[in-house]
Amino acid sequence: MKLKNAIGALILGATLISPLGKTLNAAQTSGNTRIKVTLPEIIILHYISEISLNFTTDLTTQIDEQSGSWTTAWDGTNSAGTNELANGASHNLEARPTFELDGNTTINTSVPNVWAVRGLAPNAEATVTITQGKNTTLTHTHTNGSDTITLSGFTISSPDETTGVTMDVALNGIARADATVGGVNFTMDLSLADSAGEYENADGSGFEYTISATTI
Amino acid sequence: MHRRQQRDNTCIERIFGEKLSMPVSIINVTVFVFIFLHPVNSLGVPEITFRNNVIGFVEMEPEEIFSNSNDAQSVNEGAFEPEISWYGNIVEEGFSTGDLQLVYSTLSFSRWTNATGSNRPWLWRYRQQKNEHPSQPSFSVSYSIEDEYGNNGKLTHTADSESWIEVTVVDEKIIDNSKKKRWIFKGSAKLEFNISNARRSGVYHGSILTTLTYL
Repeated sequence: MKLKNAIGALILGATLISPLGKTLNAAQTSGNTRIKVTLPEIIILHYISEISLNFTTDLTTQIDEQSGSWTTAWDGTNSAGTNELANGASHNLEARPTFELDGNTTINTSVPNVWAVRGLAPNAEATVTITQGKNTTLTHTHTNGSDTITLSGFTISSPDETTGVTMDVALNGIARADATVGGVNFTMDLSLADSAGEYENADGSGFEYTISATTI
Repeated sequence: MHRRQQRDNTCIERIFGEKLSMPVSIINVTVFVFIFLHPVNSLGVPEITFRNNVIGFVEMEPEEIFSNSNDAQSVNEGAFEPEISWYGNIVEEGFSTGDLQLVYSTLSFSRWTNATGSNRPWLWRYRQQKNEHPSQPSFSVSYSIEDEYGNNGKLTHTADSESWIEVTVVDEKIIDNSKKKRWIFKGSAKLEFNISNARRSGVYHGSILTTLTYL
């Protein structure tokens, strides 16, 4: 009898110090295993393959060259007047149009967002380089001969607006939204462009440049 | 812990066997207390082993996300015909990021934990003597993954915490290799890696926590 009481007391004691209901449930064992995976270097270069620049308007305007005066005889002949527009003496022109190219025949331009890179690299960067190719002189052939526009000074520009022939840019991953986008800059010389029309090569192609991108 | 549990189990069986013939003693009282604390041991404790060497998965190949095996892809985005002012200004843009061709077919690839070239094809192993547990054991397995910073579901690049891979367990496999006298089960998991937030090539680290719950 005494023994039963002793057992009962011990069982009760055990019940109080042990979450009896829980220990009847399942047991758990966990283990941790280290894992590693390697991603390769990847680069994706997007590019515009053909750029056609169209000047916005023809160079037509009306310019008021102020007043002039001539003395006209009764026989219809005119005497030399004042403020006459002399043939070939453009310096006499009073009001020049703001787009006047006379004396300034080069145009620097930047073509925005014509290349983009994305991918994976050891340092999350890529080196992008532009190389000027062949056919940088474009020709317009017409009935009275031909005229040319020459292109030079090719550089690339990055999103932070730095420019250069080569530059390191961020490579933010594979996703399309993470692409780093840049532009191309060059100079057009229109000093020998005396006719309107399309300037291109004889085979119908245009000027060429090459963009390359390398992971770093 | 495992050895201790086995010892405990052996102790319980011996005492049960002696219980009918031995006079009641203080030892029996102690045993009752012990049983309430560890009732799960009454059927024998399984020997559970987790793989403790690093699992280095086979490196991702470009063809797993592209339609070809090139790691350098060039994409022709077509023609661009902007207007240019006589000052050289071009307002229109060649493209925006949303216009770019997708190129990849997926940003995810997957690996089984045993697809490592290792000769240890399992992630965990469950072993138990059949005389300790005559009926087939019932257990469940769960997995969780975290990087070295404790971020759940991620592996992080070793040199850049901002470059990470999202990892999910998409499948699991349990193989029954039971023998005549012993239950033996081996398990592996299939992980899917999403590289949307990775910007670096190289090694990404983390760990997989495997939890077995058994009766």
